[in-house]
Amino acid sequence: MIEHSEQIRLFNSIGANLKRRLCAYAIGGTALMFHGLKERTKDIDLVFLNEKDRRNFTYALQQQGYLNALRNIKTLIIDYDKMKYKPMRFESHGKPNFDLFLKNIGPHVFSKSMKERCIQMHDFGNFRIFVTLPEDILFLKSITDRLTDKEDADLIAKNLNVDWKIIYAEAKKQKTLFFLKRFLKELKEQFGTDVPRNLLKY
Amino acid sequence: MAYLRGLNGYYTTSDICRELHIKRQTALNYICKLRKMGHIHETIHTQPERTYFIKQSKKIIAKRGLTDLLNSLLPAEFQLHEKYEHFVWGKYPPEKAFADALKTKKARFVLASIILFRKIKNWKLLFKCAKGDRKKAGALYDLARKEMPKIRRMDKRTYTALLKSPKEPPYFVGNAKASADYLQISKKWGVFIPFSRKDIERIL
Repeated sequence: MIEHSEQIRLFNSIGANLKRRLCAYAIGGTALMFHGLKERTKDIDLVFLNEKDRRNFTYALQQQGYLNALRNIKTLIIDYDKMKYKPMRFESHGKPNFDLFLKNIGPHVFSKSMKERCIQMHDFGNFRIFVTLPEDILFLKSITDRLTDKEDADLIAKNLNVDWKIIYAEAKKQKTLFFLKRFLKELKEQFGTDVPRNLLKY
Repeated sequence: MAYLRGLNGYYTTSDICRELHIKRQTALNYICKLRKMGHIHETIHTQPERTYFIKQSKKIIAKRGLTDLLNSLLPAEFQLHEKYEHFVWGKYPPEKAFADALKTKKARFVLASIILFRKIKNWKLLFKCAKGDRKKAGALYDLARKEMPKIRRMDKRTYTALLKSPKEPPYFVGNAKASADYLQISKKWGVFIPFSRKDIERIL
């Protein structure tokens, strides 16, 4: 687990090792820490929009002592070899893991509208991070079945004024409405989260 | 770190006295020093004494980004607004801010970047940061020296290096051509300065 201040220190040291500026989008627990909703996270999840930026980032990670955990990620994702934009995982003993995505996060696409909705921009030397909106973070978590993701979604829904229209529109555009509705129904049953009724109907 | 002495966690002044076997005034002096060094992450106003959250690591605070930096130097009538909330974790010298402003390719930001010459001292850093826009940086420096008072003089080596830097696209913003007021500077640097004298007066 990594705290927010340690995460910033880590990003600063990575940014110092980069020769040219590159941009990434923070999702998951990392983004929630920037929004001030979470104090610590297990992994650092970043989305890149081109392979060149991701490759340069991996070089900087390797200088920090991180290794590519290809074997571990293949056990987690069944159809890994068939994927067009393969995610990468970097691990180092005693440090948080890095999950690096390229355009896609599982079946979800990191769309242009998600990119345009980001309003927070953080600079760590040559490393620039855009923080995704809480609505998009909630949407990206809707595909999983994990308890921790449901806890995060409940945290977002209870602490912020979530614009459910954004989530609904994005799910409709990416044709994952069924998964979203199922996730939200489970969220309401397990945590009592206040979800609009029209999002619960199939 | 002499003032830290293994302190890590929540402490009141009495806790620190007991832990380090020091007097109350010494503990208060230590707290003052630790706060200045950035080791006190939180101060909670509990009764009867305040509680301090002391950590071995320093508290890192984000600095204001490009828009905030420029707005602090610009007059109230000419303020900038951007979609993003920009936070910089670490150093953000005016030289880097100037290069970032040029890269935005937005007219108001490029115009406002001229005001940064009041703060820019490190010409070597400016040369390094303005890669790809060196001729534009040099042209704006000449413009600032002409129109604004008390701008530091650039050293000859950096000035010559900027002048001899490789050719780059001449437009600051879109396809905006050079204005008549600064044609000489535009011709010297091979770029098109789209701003008139009235535009410069707005930021002074």
